[in-house]
Amino acid sequence: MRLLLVEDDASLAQELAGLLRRADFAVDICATAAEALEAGLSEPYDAAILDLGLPDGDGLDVLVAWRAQKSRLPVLILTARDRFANLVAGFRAGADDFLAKPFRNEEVVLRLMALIRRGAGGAQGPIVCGDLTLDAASGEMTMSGLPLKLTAFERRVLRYLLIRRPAVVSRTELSDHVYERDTDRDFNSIEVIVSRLRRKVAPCQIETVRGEGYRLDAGHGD
Amino acid sequence: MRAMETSRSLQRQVLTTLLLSIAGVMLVALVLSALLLRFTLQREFETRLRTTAQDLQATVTRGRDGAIDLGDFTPDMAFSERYSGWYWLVSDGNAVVARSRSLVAESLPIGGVGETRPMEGPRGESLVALALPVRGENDLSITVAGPKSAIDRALLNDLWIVVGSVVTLGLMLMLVVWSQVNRALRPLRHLAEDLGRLRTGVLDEVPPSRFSELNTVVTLVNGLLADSRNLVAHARDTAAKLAHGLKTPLAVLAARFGTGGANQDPKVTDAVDSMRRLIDQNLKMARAARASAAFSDIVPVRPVVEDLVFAFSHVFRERRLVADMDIPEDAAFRGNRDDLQEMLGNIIENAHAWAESRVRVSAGRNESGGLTIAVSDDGPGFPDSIVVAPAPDNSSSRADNAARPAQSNGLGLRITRDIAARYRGRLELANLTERGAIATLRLP
Repeated sequence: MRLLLVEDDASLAQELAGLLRRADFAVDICATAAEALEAGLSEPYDAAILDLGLPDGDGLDVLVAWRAQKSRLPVLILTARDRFANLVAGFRAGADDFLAKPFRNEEVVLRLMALIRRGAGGAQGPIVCGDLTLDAASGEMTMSGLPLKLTAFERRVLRYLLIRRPAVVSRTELSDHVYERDTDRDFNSIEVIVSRLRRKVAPCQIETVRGEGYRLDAGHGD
Repeated sequence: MRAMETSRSLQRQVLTTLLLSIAGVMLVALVLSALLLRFTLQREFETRLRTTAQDLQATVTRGRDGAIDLGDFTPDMAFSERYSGWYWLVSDGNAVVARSRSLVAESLPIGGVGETRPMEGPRGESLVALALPVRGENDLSITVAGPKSAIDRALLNDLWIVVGSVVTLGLMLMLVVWSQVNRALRPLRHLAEDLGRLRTGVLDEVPPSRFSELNTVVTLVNGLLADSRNLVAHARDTAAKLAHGLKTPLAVLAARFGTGGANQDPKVTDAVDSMRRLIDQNLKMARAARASAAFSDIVPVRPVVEDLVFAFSHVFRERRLVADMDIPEDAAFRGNRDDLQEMLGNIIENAHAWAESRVRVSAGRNESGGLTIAVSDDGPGFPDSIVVAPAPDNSSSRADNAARPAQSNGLGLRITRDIAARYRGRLELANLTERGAIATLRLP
């Protein structure tokens, strides 16, 4: 899952990005409204965290501009402005959720996951694919109830496939959602990761749909 | 701040001073008038003596035989009544040669020609007499006397007119003074009433007076008020900015030391939580303190409720709650929109947080024209400990502890209660017979 983090406070942006990366998100940081406006419209983010008080404008204006361009990017407003008027204005502008600073880390992650799953048409609760389970709250993945040992990048890839399931995910789409903006993208690495994941999640299957991409399947005829 | 207690009254002091002054002036006027009257009566009396004497002087002659001829002298009737006090006589040296009938056979002391002088009459009465010589008759002189008591009687007869006039004039003057003092102090009373309304928040500032003297005071009071408001607003803004400013550094701490952070430490997270609660509490209390009925816009209720229900339907989206609204188009709140939003936001959020499936917001006018907004839900209800009949002054409302089972600290309901109280309204909390809770906001 790839996130756009719009936050002008460098310390908070770094801490929050670190937290989200540890929670297996790819995170791009924007510190200005102009930068955020452009990034939100040009990159295929799974969700955005939007601060309202930006040095060159109001975060709400960025959100309104995104919505005016028909962007359906799930947006979590994260702000120190916590009056009811701000809450109403945020949702009226098209926000999907609203969280006041300071926040609990787990709440940010939980709400982001809820937004992303809702955006993908999913329901609440753990994401299950056969014996494979992803706890949306903790981010923990288990196979038949036992913790699944995965690298951070493997978790990113597998979680994206899980959330997009049963859709077929192209390699381009996959790389768009697991790599950060300034990272070199390598399809071969993705091939390698997918191969390793196939062994780790069996009997769940990661099918290669020729000419289209990958699809996660529960196996056992699911 | 308590007003200095004093029994002194400006009105009483001014009235007492003016009325006593008028009474004093009346007394002086009365004495002067009486003296003037007496002087006039005395002049009149003396003129009468002199006229009689001159008449007699002009007519009395001595014949060749030495007999005294009074000619056509005809004194008025008083000189004919026995011992009336009005006497005349003609003397030749010390011998009386003619006398008025009133003297019968008595005489008067003779002498002192030319000037009026007091003397004693034949009956011991006090007289005033005037003696004149008869021209051409060196030995002959005329004495005319009148009773001094005639002056006093005339004075007594005329004095009541003077007293009546002075007293009537004085009383009219007192009435005018009393009414003018009351009238003059009325704007001061209006100013005091306006200041009272200002204090209770009905007025935003003291309205200008029609009188320039009071307008100076009004301008000064409004200036002081503006200064004070600016100072308070500045202090609150500073506090709010400080609180807002603290939120981002706190968020940094929360992200670094919270679950999944770079240096996880639950103690720091707990401390951050405490600080956040403290900041929230103080910011909300500051907002409640800023609430004022003086800023009386007409705020339609429906759009505010629609906004809040819209926002909370998103916040609690996963709960899939159904929200009903029954709010007439013309339901309006007289006050500040932010205050209404703050009051309703807290109770609507509370209802969404605890509802099982449904939240209902209704509004209407009560019999006395006040606005009633009720927010109900089908959740577990308020704990029995907080559902109490509110006192008229809202003082015993237990919204302070208004927490649903566990979690909420009830701050929102307390803020709603405090803001409502500033508008002379109240918040009532009750549980529904079936299941659920209802929070009713009653506003004037």
